[in-house]
Amino acid sequence: MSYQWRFDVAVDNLPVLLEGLGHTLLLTALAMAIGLVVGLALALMRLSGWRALALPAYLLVETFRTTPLLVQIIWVYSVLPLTVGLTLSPFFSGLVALGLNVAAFMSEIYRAGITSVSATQTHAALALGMTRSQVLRRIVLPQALLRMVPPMAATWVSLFKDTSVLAVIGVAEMMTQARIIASDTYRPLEIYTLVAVVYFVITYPQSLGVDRLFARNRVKE
Amino acid sequence: MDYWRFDTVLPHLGYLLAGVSMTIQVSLAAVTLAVAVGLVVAMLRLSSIAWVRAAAGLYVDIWRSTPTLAQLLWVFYALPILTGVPLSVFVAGTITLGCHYGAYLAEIFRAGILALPTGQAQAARALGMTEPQVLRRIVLPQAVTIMLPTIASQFISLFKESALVSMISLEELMWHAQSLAGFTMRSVEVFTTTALIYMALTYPQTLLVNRLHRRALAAQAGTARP
Amino acid sequence: MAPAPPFLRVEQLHKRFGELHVLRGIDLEVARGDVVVVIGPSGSGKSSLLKCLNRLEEPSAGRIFLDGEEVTGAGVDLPRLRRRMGMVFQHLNLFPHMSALENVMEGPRTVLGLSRREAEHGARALLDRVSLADKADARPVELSGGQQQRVAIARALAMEPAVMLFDEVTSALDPELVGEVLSVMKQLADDGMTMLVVTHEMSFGRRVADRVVMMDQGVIIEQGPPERIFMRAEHERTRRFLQQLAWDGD
Repeated sequence: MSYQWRFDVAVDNLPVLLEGLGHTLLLTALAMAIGLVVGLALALMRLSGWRALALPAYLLVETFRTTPLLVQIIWVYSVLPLTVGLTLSPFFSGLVALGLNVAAFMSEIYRAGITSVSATQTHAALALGMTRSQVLRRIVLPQALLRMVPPMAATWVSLFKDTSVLAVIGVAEMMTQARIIASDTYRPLEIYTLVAVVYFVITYPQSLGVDRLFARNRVKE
Repeated sequence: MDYWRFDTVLPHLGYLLAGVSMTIQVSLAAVTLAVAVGLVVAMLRLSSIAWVRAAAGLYVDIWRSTPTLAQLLWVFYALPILTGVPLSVFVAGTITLGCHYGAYLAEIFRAGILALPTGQAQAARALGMTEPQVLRRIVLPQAVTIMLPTIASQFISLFKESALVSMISLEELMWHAQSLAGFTMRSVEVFTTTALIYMALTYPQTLLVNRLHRRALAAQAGTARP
Repeated sequence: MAPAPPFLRVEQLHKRFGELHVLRGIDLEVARGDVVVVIGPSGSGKSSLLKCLNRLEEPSAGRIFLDGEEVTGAGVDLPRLRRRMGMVFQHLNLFPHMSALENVMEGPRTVLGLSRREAEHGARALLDRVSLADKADARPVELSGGQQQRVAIARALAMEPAVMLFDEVTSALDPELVGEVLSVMKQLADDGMTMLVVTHEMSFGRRVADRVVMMDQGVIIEQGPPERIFMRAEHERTRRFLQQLAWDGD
């Protein structure tokens, strides 16, 4: 018995899906921004050599790296209102959880990049009489950042896909929309196929870009 | 104002830990499938026939360019409609995670095979070893040592993503947690405990990965050109 | 001996890396304008000695004085002190993301707060002094090893240091590039710079040094004028070390 594909259902609902895509992109961009800033702070705390800074940073990073994203999202969403009294919308809870998650992985990328800059560079800069902060800003970070671009780009692509997990708390991104439409129209095959195609179309070119960044960096080294 | 009362969760700890068993089961089942899929797809990617290479490449691209949750919902809700075969949540979870991580492993295996140091193989052949011997005793052990940390870290990712399968009601750890939180109305304590359980399970794995990574680096250094 | 107090004074300097006792009670005095060449086998602690002087490595014990001011001890303004000591390393000296000119300008601009124009003017003059005026806009990767080291010297000089520290600056160079770097260093010495040079280049020690210091296993075995050390060394270890370097005392 052949199945009747109803692509018109998919096409009719595409606009709603794409609206979700808009939210997906917004969440990705915002979470990435948080990750870039907080990740650097965490990396610097761990590299500072002061236990009072390094230890909390280490614990935060390891917590977010060893627990599933789903757990982090639900934890932030349900725990924040009860403990800190801060009731955030699903969007902002999701953003906080995603942002911290990305920050944890970013901090590892920063750490690897910074420590890959030769110690002699730091010594040479210190010998000129630079303060540690000047050494970091003018000598170490500029060199580290170049090496960090490919893994950061890969993180962006992963982050884009991870926004789908926010569907669990009902954030109006693309995955949520897909679930709603699929149950409304009773046509999970067409809708879930369509959303997979949309994710693929957006993600695949970015993945190719990331692969090229990695290849270019290898050639340069 | 009345939170962080872990004594409310303690009596139910057994219920939570019961979910761990399912988490481990689905993770092991999925990683077995993933390794098998990965090996097959890697070989296909190295085929001399162009369309076979392209098809395998398409498999990898599709599974790596779509979110796991989207894949999971598709496998559980959409695939049975296509095939007419309903899937249990366990099987759907296994297939999804297996095919997803199979794609990643395929790339790792392919890179590992392509990067095999040829000098070693040549030296072995010069000693008079047969091809299967060269493969088995010299090439594969080194390739495996080098690839092992990456494979292990993929397993950790898979293990964490098993939590997603709670969303189609597989009764693993996260599902039990959500159930318990609803029942006791103590989200803070329940989810914090759940996070701690995941950490306790994952952290040792990351230590192992670090050790495997150091071993792989040492092995490579030993064969580095002067 | 010099009537004035020594410009650089090291008192019972010790340095430990965990179990390893790298410097075991170094006493050293350097007068203004002195060129002191430090020789010795690897692992003798020569490099650590230099790095302790500007506290790139922390001394485990002992005191160091620069122009009467104590370098060691708490509460010292390290960046300020380091400005008075220029240092050139064995390799990876230059900042790869900057041109030669920008490398030399970096200290004056970032540390001394000079304007871009002032810093550039001074930097070009220094590059000219080390005969690399035409390479101002080149990136380090485009320069030979010898050229990189000369730029590194110019960069250190841009801070107008009172003393220059050289840590085996020619050891990583291809032999034909060594001469150009040593010429610059000799010129610097002739111009009256106070210099502490760790090197294996015995010809430099013989022709340019005011004093040669022989170190082994963390202690100073002996020191004195080059003619005496190279030709009539008092200690067996010094003689053996120099022999191993095939020094034939011409």
